[in-house]
Amino acid sequence: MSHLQFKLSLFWSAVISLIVTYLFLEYGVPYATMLITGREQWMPVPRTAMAMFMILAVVGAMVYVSTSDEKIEEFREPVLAFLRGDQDGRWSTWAKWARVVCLAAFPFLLGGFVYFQTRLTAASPTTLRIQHPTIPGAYEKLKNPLRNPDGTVKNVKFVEEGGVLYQKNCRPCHGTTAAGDGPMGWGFRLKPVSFRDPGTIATLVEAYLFWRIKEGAAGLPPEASPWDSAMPAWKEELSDEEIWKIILAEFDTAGVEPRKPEKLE
Amino acid sequence: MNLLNRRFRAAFPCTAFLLFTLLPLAFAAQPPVEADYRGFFGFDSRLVVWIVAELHLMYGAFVLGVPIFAVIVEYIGKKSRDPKYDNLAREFTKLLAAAFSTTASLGGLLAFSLFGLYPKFMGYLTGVFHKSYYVYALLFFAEGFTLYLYYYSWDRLQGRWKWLHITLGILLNVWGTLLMLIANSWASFMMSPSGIDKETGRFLGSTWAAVANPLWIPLAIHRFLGNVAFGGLIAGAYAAVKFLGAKTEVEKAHYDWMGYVGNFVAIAALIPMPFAGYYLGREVYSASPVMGNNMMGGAFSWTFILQAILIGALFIGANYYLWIGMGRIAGAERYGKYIKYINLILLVCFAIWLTPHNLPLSAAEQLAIGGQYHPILKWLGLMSAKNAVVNFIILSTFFSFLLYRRGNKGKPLPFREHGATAKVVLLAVGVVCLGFLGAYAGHLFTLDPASLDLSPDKARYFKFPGLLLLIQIGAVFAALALTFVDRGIHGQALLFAVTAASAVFALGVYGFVVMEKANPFLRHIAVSQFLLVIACLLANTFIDIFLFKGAGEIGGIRWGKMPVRSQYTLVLLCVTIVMLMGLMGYIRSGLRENWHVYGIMQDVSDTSYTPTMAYMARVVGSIVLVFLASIAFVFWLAGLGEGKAPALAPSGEGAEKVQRGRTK
Repeated sequence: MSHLQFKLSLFWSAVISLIVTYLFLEYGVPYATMLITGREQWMPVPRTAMAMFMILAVVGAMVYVSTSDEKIEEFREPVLAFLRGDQDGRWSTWAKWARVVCLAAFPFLLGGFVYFQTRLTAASPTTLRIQHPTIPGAYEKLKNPLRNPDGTVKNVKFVEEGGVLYQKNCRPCHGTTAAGDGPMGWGFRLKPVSFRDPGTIATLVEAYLFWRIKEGAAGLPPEASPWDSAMPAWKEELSDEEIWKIILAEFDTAGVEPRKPEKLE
Repeated sequence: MNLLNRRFRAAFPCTAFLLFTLLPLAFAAQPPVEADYRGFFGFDSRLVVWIVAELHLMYGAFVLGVPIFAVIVEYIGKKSRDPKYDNLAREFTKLLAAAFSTTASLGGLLAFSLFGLYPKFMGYLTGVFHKSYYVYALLFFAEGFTLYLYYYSWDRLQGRWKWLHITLGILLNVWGTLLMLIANSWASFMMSPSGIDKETGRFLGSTWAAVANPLWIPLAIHRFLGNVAFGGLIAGAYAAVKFLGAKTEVEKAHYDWMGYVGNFVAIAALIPMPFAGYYLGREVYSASPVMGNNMMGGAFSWTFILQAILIGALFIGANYYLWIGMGRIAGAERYGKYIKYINLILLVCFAIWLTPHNLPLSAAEQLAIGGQYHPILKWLGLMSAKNAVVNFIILSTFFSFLLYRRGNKGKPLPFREHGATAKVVLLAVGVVCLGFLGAYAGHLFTLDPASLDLSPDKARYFKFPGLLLLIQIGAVFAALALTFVDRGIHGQALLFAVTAASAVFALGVYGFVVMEKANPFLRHIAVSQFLLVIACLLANTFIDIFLFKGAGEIGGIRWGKMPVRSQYTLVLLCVTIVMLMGLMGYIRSGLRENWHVYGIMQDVSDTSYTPTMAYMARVVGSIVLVFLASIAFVFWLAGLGEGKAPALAPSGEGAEKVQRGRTK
């Protein structure tokens, strides 16, 4: 007895692959992110990323389908059969009607898609944000005067004093452990980043932090817009030395190290 | 009408002569004024220099890249005694000869523009580099004479004089590389100046100290590989256009093969490119952390997303061309089942490669996510993830090529039939891998954390990559041993598996740990990944050569039997690499922002600002169009003197016979 063999056509394989990819991105990733991060709500995949991944998936499917003439033929076959209709009188009545309904619905689906993509909505715009705006020349070559040339701290008391200043001035937004979870931070639409994340202050030289603390959001250059930041300018409240101490404490609290100019090879 | 044409032809040079002689005279008649900057007939000076410099660089890349593989193809022709290789090398050189004068003209125009529009800055640069100008000029003569000698002596220097002709080709490459090194030193000096007083900018007297600036060699390596890939894909597109217009099967077979060689050359150069780019990027960070941050995390970060898209298109396109090409190889259908998996790996890798750390978000998404960074996707934007996937892309592309290569091969011969030479060569490859893997493992095991400004306890992070390098040595020798006992394919599979596990997965994840705990060590992770992958590529290539040497053939390769979409792919690859070259040229130069010489000489002209992405895209797009149109014109000019039926590859059985040598 021969076992039943079922082979999905290339067209339907491609369609199903794309649907699975979409469902994975739309529901799988948000759900998995919620589980992994322990949050209470799903974390959606941003629309820009979604568009990028889906375009890649479509390109991938088209690339695979067109690697040989046979595959192109196999892919086209169900599409052509559907468009041509019942050529040899073997279709059932419901299949014929289904075809007519699909063909009639297609322009509406397309029109609907175009309408929903282009209609005016009240959604906020997607911003192409620059992670690290260009540091002004006046700050670029500054070095933390509280460190030795080898990068070690001159005196551990600077870190302790910086820690006190940090907890007093920065903790409300940046959090006790510099994880960006201070009580005031939740009030902002754009929460402060976690400095414990190795992709944030660990990628910056200390002079950059000095600039950001001293000048705050108000001191950002115009080319850095759109820049959503509620960071105050601390130059009136803190002395330069206090800011350098806070920087020492920030790295210490976050458990990361500032970017060091690497040796040229 | 003819009379009109004749009059026009006569009038055009006269008008041009009057324009080019009288205009400078008119300007010269004005009293000289000391100026920092000058305008260009009301146009933006920076734009003029940008366009001319980029066009010059593109032509330069072509004329420096093509001779490298032209002479290699010629050498293969001499060794295999197959005249078709010689014809192909000659056709490559024909393109070169045609493009050379345009490159030189653009170089002259660039020099005039720079000296005319940026007199103060060029005065400073000349003060530092004027000695190198004379060497450059001499080398340029040498390059020109050698090129024309190489091209025009092709027929004379055949037979026993062939070695002399090949020597000329090698000399051509030597002069070209030296020219590139000198010109690179000027550009890299502007980014990372040396040999001067860093406070005052005063030249300290040693031209060599200025030439050997920190970014000189990293930039040269990156450009060298870029030039080869660029030359390969331009030649590939030329072949594709010729293929599409071919009237006979013989012509189609020839240009199909030429296109394949162009794509092969480009793949060979693209494989080490990501590492060369990483090396250059790290050195930019080292030269100036601020410039580095502007590059990857600041004003230029989005241009790197564009770069990722273009690189993605290059790798996918190059693989796609190989997969379509398998259709013309009898027997390659056995390997068709792997294509879907390679395609999937490439796509997943590119999805990661393209994902920025800092995704564009709407306010609603920021609210839903609770910040600017997606808790999971943000990790894909960091360097460790990028390094892991780019190594997987390289391994997958190499795997595609191996499948293509063995498409029509039958059962391998028993290894003992290849004689002692095969064993010696493979063992030598093993020893080479042992050498560089072992040396780097030793370096990691003995690395002093203080040399990276790390505390002594961080030394523990150096051990794991060292261990993986040692495991890779074991894997290489295991693969060789399996080859010796006629299990070469298993050996190759083992090496691929170990490399993917260590370079992609293990070090990919470990990179995040290092990034957090011992960031300055991260570059050693990247070097380890590169060495693991290179060892795999090297050993597997040589195993493959001997594995299928003398193996029976299932069928021939039907050159010329390629669907037209494959040729459009070659054209697309060419357009993509030209766009990439234009984009990267902008990034490299733009990184200096408002500095002529970074940190030393400020650009105080009206146009010292960093252009917007939209403006950059328009300018680079226009440059791409001008370059493609002009090089098409140059190639058309080069073909004007040709006869109707050039000597081309034979079709049918002959072509298959020729091909037996070509896929080796």
